[in-house]
Amino acid sequence: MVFRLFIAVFVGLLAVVETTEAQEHPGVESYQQVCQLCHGERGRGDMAPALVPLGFDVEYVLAVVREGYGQMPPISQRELSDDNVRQVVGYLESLSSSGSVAVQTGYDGPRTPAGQPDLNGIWQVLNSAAWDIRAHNAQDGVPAGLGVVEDNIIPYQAWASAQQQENYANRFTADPVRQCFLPGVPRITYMPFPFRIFQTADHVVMTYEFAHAVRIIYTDGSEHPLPNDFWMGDSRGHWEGDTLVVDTTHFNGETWLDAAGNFHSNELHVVERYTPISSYHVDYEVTIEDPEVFTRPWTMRMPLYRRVEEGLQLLDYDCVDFILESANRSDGGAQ
Amino acid sequence: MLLTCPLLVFAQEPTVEFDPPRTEWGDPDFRGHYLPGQYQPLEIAADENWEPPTGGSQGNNAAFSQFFEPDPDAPPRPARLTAPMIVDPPDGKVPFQPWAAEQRNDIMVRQDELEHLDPRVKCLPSALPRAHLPVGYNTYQILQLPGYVVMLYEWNHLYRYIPLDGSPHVSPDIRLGMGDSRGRWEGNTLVVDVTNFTDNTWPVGHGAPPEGAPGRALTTGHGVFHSRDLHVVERFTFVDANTISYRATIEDPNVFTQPWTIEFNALQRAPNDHMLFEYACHEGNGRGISLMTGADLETIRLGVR
Repeated sequence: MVFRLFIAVFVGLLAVVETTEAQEHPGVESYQQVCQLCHGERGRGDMAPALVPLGFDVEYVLAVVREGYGQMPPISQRELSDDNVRQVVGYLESLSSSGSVAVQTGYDGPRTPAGQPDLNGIWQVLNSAAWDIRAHNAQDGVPAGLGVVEDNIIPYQAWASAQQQENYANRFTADPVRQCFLPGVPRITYMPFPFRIFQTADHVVMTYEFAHAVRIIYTDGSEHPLPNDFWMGDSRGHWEGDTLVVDTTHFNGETWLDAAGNFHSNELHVVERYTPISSYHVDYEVTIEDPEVFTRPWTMRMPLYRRVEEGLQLLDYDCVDFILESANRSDGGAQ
Repeated sequence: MLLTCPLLVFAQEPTVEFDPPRTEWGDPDFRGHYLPGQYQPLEIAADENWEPPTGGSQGNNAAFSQFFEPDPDAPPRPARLTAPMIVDPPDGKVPFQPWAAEQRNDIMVRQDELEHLDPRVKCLPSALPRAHLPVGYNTYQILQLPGYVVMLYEWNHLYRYIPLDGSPHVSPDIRLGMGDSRGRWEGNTLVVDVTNFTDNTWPVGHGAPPEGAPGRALTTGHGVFHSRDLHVVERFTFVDANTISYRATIEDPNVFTQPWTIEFNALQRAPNDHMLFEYACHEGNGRGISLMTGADLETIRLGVR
């Protein structure tokens, strides 16, 4: 599955922004009246994800508009007719093709036989997000960092902010990764370990050195399965131009976002955008949505770097083995 | 002996080799989802005359059946194959060095100690060829690109990259739970040479050994151990469009008197809608380990970031 289209029903609250586009494209008026409050001006995203570039066809959009999806309520014909939806799709497509995309890639690296950027290889972040995704000073064993969260603000609900502070105070015992539990998504991406992408025509498989975690990302148009909870969620991907968009849901709510106690619930919905900007760099953008914990969706961004050492391969970081060694050393377990 | 065990002929090599489709770049096409093969014992027990103590438990399967009533509407399961997977040596027995046979007995009577407990139960990597033995909790996905075969295992979210470029094994100082795989094509057969294993896994072991059975009485491969010199050579060959035969030669001069070989149909093509689910092994395992061994893993915290 893909982005949740997120359309407000609070039509009466809208302040319609008049621009010259209103005369230029017949879809502008409907978009501004019904969609813009959540999806932002010109489809750039706000509380709800960006719709530019648009990665779906009219039929899909119509289905989502009528049936709703996730937090997005169904929209009636009276509020937005089928013709209006088609006009809005046309408007968003015109924006998608007119160079208004947030990341202009100019990617000129290798491509697969299907024409997509070839992400095959070993990648790794170079930052301190694993310790704390927000700006933080150094501590013993922890490098300082400017943070990877947009505006350095995680929009916690009040109770959740208090919970995060409690998590932080207890982080050396409460962090699930310290028990060698799977880190979840997106934390697995910025663990300080390499990961390998194996990209075929209908799959992108991400294999991680940390705890031999695996994400099998179907890019064959298939949808999320019936509800099950997973540590690593269920990932479905599609290509929007040169960007691999991965939509992940079905989390179990047991994982954290970093070692500083930033957390989420099982309502977590992650949208990752992997946009290669050269043969060696991917612009990695993550939108986090979780209505149980946050007041609005929020975004992280960081580069991924291709590891270029000759003969490089993923090795083992099997922390289960370290847990067992610790238990054997202490003759029965407890430290 | 052989005359009284006619099913032994099952394990012979396929006489007519199936010619599989090719990938766009000309390699035999192994891509797809697969289910495990049919249950089959690994070995002929070293002590074939061992009987479980009368009046005692009938083993783990019996214990399970007390909790799970059989579903009367379930389709009948195929009859179990009775011939051993071991085709060499021809007696079907694991060719242990004498001290190692004793060690296996010791390992099996000490399954209530964390150090000796089955590494599968501890959620360590399966190693090889154990990842291909027929068990109900494993399914497979094989992906290919020019120069690579990748095998994904549902069991414990394990994976293997098999480069086909003739590159040498990684440094002998490096140890890997699934070993270091290097592959090549011999006709339609994928041949994989695997080294650089750790020494805390078991190369085989599937099904449920009778409770209390000593190592010498087992037919399931449990308690067979290896050293860091384990060397496995695998051969994957299509026998028909939906079945891949698996032949593995297991060599470890520190433990066995000779290389030994298992062969069986290990991969059956799965239905079209099959997908691998997350098998989070360690995450829920602490309580079980505690009950089995008394070791409290749940209070341990690592220094990982």
